[in-house]
Amino acid sequence: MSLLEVNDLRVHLFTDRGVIKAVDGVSFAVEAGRSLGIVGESGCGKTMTALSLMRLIPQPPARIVSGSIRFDGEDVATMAPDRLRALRGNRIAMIYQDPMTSLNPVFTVGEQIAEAVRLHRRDGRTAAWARAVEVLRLVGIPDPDRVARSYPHQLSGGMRQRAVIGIALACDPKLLIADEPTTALDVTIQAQILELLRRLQGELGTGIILITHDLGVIADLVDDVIVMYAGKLVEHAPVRQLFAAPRHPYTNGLLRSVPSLETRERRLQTIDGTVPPAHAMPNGCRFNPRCTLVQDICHAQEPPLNDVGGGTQAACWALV
Amino acid sequence: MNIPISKLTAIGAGLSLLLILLAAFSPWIAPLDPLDQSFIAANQGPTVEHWFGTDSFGRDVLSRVLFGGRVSLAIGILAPVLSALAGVWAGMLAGYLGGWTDRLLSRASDLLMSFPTLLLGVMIAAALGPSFQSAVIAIAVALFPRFVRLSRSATQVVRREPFIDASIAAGRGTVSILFHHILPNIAGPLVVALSLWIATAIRLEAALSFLGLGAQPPTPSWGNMIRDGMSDLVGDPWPAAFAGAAITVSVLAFNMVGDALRDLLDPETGL
Repeated sequence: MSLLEVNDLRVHLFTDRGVIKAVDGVSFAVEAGRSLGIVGESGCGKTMTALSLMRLIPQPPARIVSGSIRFDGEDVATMAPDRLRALRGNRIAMIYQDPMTSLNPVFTVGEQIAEAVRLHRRDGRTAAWARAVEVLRLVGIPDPDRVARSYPHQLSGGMRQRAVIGIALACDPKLLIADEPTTALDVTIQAQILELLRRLQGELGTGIILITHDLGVIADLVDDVIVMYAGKLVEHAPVRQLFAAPRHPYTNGLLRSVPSLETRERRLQTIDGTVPPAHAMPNGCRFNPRCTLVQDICHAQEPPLNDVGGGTQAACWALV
Repeated sequence: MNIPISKLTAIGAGLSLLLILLAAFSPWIAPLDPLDQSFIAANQGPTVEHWFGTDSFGRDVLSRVLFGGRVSLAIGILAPVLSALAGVWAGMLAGYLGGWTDRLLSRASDLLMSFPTLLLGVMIAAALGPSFQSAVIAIAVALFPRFVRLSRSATQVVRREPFIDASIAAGRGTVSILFHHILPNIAGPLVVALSLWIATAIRLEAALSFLGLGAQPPTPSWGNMIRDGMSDLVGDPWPAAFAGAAITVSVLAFNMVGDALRDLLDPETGL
């Protein structure tokens, strides 16, 4: 049994202007000690998917309308609130995008990690503080004793993101969800943080879900990738396979819009158009207005997610 | 203004503290019993025996101002503090939870805000019957909606910070988030407001006891000293003048503390 099994998840937003299907029938699984990347443009539903895994979606307007999220044999989608609180931060932890604002400015880093420990364990203050220092050392912070006594504003961006990852790791979670963990950081720091996540995955056997729009980050870190477009899962593949032989035209477009150092191209390719607004989704395949391989059937019928060989699943009538 | 903030803070804080100490230790400081009447010494101006003069009953005005400070400052400080204890929680709940909780609490405080503060205080004090306790309750209720509004809007700002989402994701419950994450981050403006509204409460107390709705005679308070002095303002202006001066000085002192704290905590904008 997988650590996490998401089956036909549907998250809808009930707004005054109608129902927005933010996540529309997404299924995937994460094994212990493995990592999954979720990629797609902004608004494709990747963050909504991630937030649903701990039921952190803003309710209202969002609601999980159907599907199951089985974590360790329990369904998160229907879990009681107190079970949910015991799960959050303890067995599933989350790293947010911006390390500048995901720490409380009025407490020291050590206090915040120790608090996270004491929320879920019956540790005393001294034990929790010791754990905080230990965790800071684990995430590669030199002089963890001093950093534990520092306030967030006294630390650099990279240090802060390490501290944020430290808080997430404080209770030895089985699954770590990282929502664009490196977007707000310098490129050099970015590489260090990715290296850290890879090391932790190896050392602690934590399952990782990495959400990003940066394909470079995906290539660096994850085992499997799912590509989302307008709330739908359009391609699911092992990372090497995805980069070597993308099958969905959208994935292909994404990969071709990344500049490469090896090949010389005059002009970087782009995907024409933008994601259609949620209340004006086209019939059939949602990608059809922007697709270069569009056929008649693409306007008529939604393509199902099929095995297309090489361990890849893709939802497309006209594969690349 | 050329006075550096720290100096202004020191003056305001020092003056406030001095006033509180004088009031607290008035039984030991006051030269005479504030209730001791003497018909021979009635209606005197300042003399060596009576620095602030005497009132129409021959009572020592200095002693009465000191003892009056006990009542006036006790109400002036106690009422806003009680009001803050209730109002801050209500405001945090409204700002954090939103929805129906917010609508209910906000409309309730709007309702209270729609009355002028003094009128509301007078109505409550009159309904409860004049006494020390009812003055405290009246002023606390009159200030309550201000604390609700302030902490509600400050909470709404902090609520949007990612570290709040992060702590929900870490498994914290609502009360724990309010106490650990919201309160420490909104404490600054609340402390400023508290010190400014202590000044407001001192004025309200004076107004209530001037109208006979505060502490009852013969117990002196600054407001009822002015009320007593009013009957013979031309013949013996001293009791009203010194009680009025005491009100002015303490309102000024607490306002100075509030202004200085505000500049210190938030150099850009006012409250």
